[in-house]
Amino acid sequence: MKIKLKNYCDEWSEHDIGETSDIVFAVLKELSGDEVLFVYRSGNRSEVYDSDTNGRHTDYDDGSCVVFSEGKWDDEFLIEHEVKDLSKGLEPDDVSPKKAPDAKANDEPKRTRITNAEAYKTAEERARAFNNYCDKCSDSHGDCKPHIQCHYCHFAWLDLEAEEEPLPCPFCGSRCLVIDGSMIGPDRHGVRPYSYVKCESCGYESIATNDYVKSGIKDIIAAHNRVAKAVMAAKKEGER
Amino acid sequence: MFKFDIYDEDGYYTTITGDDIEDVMDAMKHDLAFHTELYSGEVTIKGGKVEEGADQ
Repeated sequence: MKIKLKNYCDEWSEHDIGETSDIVFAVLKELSGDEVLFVYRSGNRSEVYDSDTNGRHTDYDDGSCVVFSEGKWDDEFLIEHEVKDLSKGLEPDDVSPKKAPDAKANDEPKRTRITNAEAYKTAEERARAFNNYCDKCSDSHGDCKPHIQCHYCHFAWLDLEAEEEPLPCPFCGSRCLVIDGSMIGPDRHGVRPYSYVKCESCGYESIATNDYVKSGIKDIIAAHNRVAKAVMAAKKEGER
Repeated sequence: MFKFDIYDEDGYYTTITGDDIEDVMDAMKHDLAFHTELYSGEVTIKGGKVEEGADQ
């Protein structure tokens, strides 16, 4: 099986699935039709791609990767799949030929999406998921376990048992992180604790100080989501 | 042109206008970021494409 990759310059290249001199590909999930979620590994770096250009990727320098796929805004975004350690090489199952799509598959929805809220319904499930993901999470600060008090992590909402996960950035569609427990000021109100949801790509930050949001990070995620929905609605109006 | 009125929980907050939707969204992004009062309650953004001089 061959797979097509599109790089940041919109150039396509075709590769065999399998191991070449320094490249390993593993199909992790067949999404539908021509789309597959796959891992690209070169040296100690792993990147995860969705074969269509809507998919995001992430890098983990230790060769491991958390596999996820993120769709467009209106797809309610996130799927977490599984954690695979590629540092020990690929298992035979990882390099599986893609099945030809049959007629029944064509009738199915283009892609099955599930949100974190749907996937982890109980506090126990959320805590377990947070531990699993955060062990591998290398967002910005490397392994975020040592930074757990500041919750600099997209998956912090699981640990915090918030009802909602932060919606993607309404301006660029990228994943948002949750940052809790920093300080703002001093200004005329003194030094105050604040928390915010921050886009990991374009830098948009929805800041809330404890003056405004009394019950902490849960409400801060909800506040971010309220504004994000309003912006998306405005965006749609503007596109009409 | 594009015109959006932003309302926070207490009512009217600000208006953002511009000829290019990308520029308007960029201005909205900078206007929303860091403004803590906007995050205390419901936020409504009304507007869209308007004819030149329609609001005069």
